[in-house]
Amino acid sequence: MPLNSLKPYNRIGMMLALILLGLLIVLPLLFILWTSVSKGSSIDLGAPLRNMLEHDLSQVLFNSIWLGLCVIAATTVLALPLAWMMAKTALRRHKWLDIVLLIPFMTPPYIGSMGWMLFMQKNGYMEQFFPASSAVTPAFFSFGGMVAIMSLHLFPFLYLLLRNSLLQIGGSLEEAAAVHGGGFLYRTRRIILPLLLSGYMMGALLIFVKTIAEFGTPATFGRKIGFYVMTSEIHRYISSWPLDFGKATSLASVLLAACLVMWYIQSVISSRYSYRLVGGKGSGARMLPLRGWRGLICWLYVGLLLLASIGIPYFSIISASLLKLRGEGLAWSNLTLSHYADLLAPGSESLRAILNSLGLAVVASTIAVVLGTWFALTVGRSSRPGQKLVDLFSLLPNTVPGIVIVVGLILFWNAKWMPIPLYNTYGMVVLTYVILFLPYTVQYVKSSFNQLDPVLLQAGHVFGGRRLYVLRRILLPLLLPGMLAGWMMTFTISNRELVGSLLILPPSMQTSATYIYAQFEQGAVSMGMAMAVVSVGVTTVMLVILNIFSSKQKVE
Amino acid sequence: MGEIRIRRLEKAFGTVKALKPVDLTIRSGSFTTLLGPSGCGKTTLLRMLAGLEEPDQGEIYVNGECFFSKDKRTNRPVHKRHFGMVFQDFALWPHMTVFENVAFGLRAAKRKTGLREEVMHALKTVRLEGMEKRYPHQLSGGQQQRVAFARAIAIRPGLILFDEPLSALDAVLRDELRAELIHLVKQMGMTALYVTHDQTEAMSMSDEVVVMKEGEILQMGTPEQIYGTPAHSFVARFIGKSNWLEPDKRMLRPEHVRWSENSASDQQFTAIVKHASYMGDRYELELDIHQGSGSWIAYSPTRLAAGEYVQVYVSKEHIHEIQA
Repeated sequence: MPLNSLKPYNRIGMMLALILLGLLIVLPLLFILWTSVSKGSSIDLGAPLRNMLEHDLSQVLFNSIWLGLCVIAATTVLALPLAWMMAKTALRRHKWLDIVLLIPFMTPPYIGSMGWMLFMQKNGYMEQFFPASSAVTPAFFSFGGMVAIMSLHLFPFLYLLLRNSLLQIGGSLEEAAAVHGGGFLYRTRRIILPLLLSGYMMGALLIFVKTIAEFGTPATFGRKIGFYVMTSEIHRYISSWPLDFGKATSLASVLLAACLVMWYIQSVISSRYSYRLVGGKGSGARMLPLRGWRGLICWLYVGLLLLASIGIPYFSIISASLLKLRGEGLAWSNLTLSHYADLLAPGSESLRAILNSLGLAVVASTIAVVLGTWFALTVGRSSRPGQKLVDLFSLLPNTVPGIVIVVGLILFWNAKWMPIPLYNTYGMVVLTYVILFLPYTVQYVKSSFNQLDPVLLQAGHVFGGRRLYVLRRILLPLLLPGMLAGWMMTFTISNRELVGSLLILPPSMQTSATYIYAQFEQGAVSMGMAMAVVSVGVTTVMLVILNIFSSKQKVE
Repeated sequence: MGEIRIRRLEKAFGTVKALKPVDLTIRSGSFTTLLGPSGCGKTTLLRMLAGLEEPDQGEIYVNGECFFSKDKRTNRPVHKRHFGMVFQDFALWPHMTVFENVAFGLRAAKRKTGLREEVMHALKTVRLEGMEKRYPHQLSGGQQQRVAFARAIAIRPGLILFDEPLSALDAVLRDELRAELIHLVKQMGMTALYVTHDQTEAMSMSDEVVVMKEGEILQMGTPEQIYGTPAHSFVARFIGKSNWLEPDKRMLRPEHVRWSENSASDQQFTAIVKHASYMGDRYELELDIHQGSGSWIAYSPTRLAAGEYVQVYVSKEHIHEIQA
């Protein structure tokens, strides 16, 4: 029997973790399914689908699926050439591009969409720069425009996946094919494409799930063009009159089922068809030099991509927040900082929203880190069934669309028989955030833990450390970077979180996200965009500080 | 089978000279090893021969045919050189069965007739019959290494290149496969170029050893020549153990340090035993030599205590002068 105390595992702790996860995450989700399939005393498994078909919701379902497929196609078109350039050409040396490409992915989708709308709308910035473009800008407010916005948000994800696969294949596996007589086309067909396929399939499925689960773009851009998908319809049925919880739960359960099926397929693919590509010596892979027209094309591509995914949305947001009078358009004389002054004026509604967001984010991320670390350590190296279950449950909020979780939480905590009066309180908001973003900490801490050699802990015991002492002096300090990363991620995301805030906030309360959403809806664009700049700015500054802090620590 | 001639081949990565102008001839049917510490340019030379790296200058001829020449602007692409290669990490394609891995080169050359027989023959040669339907991840390290070898010989290449093929294996397997590999290569009469940093591998397998350092060839010769008459003090130190009478100029090998006088011309040295290590078949002694500089290694059938004074004798013919 190996020293069991080395694994932070014990039966009681695991049971507690399972009970807590069951109460917080699993029960609310089951509650959605149960509500949508039960009619009085009988159970009808086909009810959600039938309910949708009967009530003309099939169009919504179709819209979601079509959107997902089109976004897969568009992200592939954007990401594949970039992945190839970053893996095979001298562009690979420019590592900063990888960091820059995270910006679109980290930009909240509703803010990105607002940027695009401001840019392309009638008398928007596009028309101010190029008056002739007014002939084509209306065409942007269409399904195609929506696909473009969502793809520009999601493509970095697919890009990273494809590039890493290409880099791994590019080493000796491709060279071996070349040496043994495979020409460029032959080895691309026989070696590179088959090996790339499983990675691509997984990436495409994840893009699909992320697209049909997304709320920010459908809620802003989609509503404007009248393109409704499942997430936006769920929101409509539970937040605006006439309320219809029946339809909302039907939609939510279909969405839930769809995402779970996708994740299942994805895990089957990854376990069956993915190969452990052990990258050989990276130096082996040759880089295509970028000279002449080749370099020009590559840099043009990267430049345009950065312009579309970062330049345009951020330009629109920042300039909108600085304009005195929107009607007068872009001019140096028309710039002012007064919106920021109003926004941060003491006692104002907006400042309260900012502080409220920060407060919620701090409380939620702190609780999430404590819980997440506990769950991650319970999972350990997930060797036992119970540990696997904790792993599965604690990562569920990552699998299930945020809006579905939120609907489940509302149904559960607002139920008539619920004895704990949490609903419509500050605590409910914190709880929602903690649940939504728990997977970040769990994943970060789990990966730090899995990188730890168990011998380090065994050494601690050999030199006389008791369990708690080893935990405090060895395990926690080594996990700290993971915990910190989890905290930062939770803080950043919950500071901008829109879905939970829109649906869960008690009536009198606002966060920066709901403030931006409301101001934009009501036409107070400048104030809304000033808030967007502040909210994205604060979190970016925090991320940068953390980066500097952690790199300094490494040097010491 | 081909003779390889390399003329004034050189390569720089940025400002680093990976290979200074090098001349080398590899006899047809010989087993030649490039030996040297990491960063000596041996892998670069191998990869340039394979066509995986483009030389900055120089020429490569195979059987009189020009494969690369900077001046003539000739550069035969990798897949048309018809070489076999065994990679350090094996580089087996994980999505293909053993059969398909081995058949790759034949299929790429559009061979249809006798394809199955060729592949099975190659698999039989490496004693992997019955494994053709497996995938690489279902094989042990030694078996993977054999598949990589079978793949390289299946196309009956003009030259087979080995890039440290045994370094990913554990010690016992390495010894076993080393013997098997050299046996197979000799049996098939192939020309082989082998890259390693392990002197035992180089000495035990090769017809010719090429010792390299910092992008230069220091010496080329049979293993016996390399060991017995090193042309450079680095070669003397890198291969085997060396005792120096005069630093970098006059040396002898430890087995030539004797405990008794054979002839009157023998040189005599007084030494203090610093340390004795038992090696099983003998004792390896570290001696502090009075007349010489630094310490020597000598072998003794009996244990000698540290601090003991001893007399040792060296014959003139065993002292090797380094000319450089």
